[in-house]
Amino acid sequence: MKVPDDLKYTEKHEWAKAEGDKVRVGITDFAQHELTDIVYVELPTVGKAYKKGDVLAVVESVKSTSDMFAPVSGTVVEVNKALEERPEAINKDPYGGGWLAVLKVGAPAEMHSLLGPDQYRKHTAK
Amino acid sequence: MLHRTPLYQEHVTMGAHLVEFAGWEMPLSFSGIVSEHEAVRASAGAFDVSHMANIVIRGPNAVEMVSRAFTNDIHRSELGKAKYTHMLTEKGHILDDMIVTRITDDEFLCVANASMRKPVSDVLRALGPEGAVEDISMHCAAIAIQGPKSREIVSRIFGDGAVELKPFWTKFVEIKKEWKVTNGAEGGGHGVAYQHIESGDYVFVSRTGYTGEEGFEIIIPFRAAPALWYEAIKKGEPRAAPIGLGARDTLRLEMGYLLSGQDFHGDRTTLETGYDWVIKWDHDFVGRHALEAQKAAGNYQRFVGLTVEGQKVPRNGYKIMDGGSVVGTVTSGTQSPTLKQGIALGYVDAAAAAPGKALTIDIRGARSAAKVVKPPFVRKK
Repeated sequence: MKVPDDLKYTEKHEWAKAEGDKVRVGITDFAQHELTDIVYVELPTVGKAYKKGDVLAVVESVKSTSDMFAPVSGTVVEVNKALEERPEAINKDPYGGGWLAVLKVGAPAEMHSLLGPDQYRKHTAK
Repeated sequence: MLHRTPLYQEHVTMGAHLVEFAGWEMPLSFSGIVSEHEAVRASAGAFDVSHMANIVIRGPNAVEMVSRAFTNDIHRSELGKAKYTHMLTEKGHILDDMIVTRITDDEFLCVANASMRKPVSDVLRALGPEGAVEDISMHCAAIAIQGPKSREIVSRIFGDGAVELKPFWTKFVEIKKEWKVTNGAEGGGHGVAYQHIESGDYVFVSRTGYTGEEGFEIIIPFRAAPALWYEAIKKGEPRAAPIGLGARDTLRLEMGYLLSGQDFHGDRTTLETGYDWVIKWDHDFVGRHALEAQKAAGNYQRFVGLTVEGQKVPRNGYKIMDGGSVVGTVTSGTQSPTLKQGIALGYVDAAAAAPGKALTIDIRGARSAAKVVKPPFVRKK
């Protein structure tokens, strides 16, 4: 299970990557493996503000439907349109081509409340 | 505690994604649900179905017991004939669905769903004398080989004789392999089926399955299972891909087959499922009077297939709408790996059940257009 060292994580298996005043988010390798083959993603709306913990996206696999929560509060400035055609990119490359959205964050301090890679590794080992 | 099949270690070694299912630790997938699904439709797959319940009904009362217990005419089956049937409650609700085979004049083998092992055994026990029902589930392993190449694989392992079976027929096939082993365990059962399997000299082969493809289900002693699994998936050609419960579900869904505990859960009758052909009205089975009353009253919900437009996927519990009215509920749904389209099974009011009827499904507050179809969703080539 891949857990890159340069990302932050949530207990609900989202990842967040700081990019200046923005944060790129997606679901973890663990999450994509649990979900199995992903067939559809309902992406968030660009320009809409989400609070930490709000449902940001819905990820549908062959097996189940899962909510993806906003790891931090912010306004969506970009979504990964490529997932509309190729949702399986999340399975293949969850931390790269499988990113879901970029948020402009209001409270950068929220990033500090997320799990670090070691904490997340322990969380998934449970 | 979770039960583990004799193939558990093989699954772990192969890196299978394991999940809990009906008290068992089972593989959900190996290479991925969609690729496994495609392998079964195009070639062949092997399924560990050792979790299924194996219950023997035997003795001088056996014929009378199966006539009372099951909707189908199991009591009239020829030797070796397997039949799909329902077992109902007094209220006519489906307790479980199963395949029952006549082993001898006075012995039957019932293969039921893992989660219903105890309820089904309890019903059968209540219908007969002490010792007439033997639950041999924990002594038997089972592997299903399904797909267009299943015949070649099963004949490669057990010889051409093993596959000379019409659909829903069974036979004991002699194992001419070095991996003849017995359970070495006491207390499995006294019936012919169990004694044959336990001897290590025979496997029980039935031409049945849950995928819509040609296929075989093979019951063997627990300890022989890894050797058969190995021969099916790793040795010789053609070989089967290992398949988990995820693809087992999408394969059966494309055929419109019922899933116990999901498409019925003690709340639906055989008439509602549309499986009227498993009811033979000329014998006195449990639940018969309730079905007669329902049939006379008519106007009950019907089990239908639905194809869904757009990319969203229908799921268990979603409401089915006709205009502004709720007319039913989805019980199973997925994106069909073959059609690349959302498909659902569910119950709708009789007035909304005609094939071709345009309905909608409420998917998280938005409506997706859906059309009633008569399963299977996928026709055999």
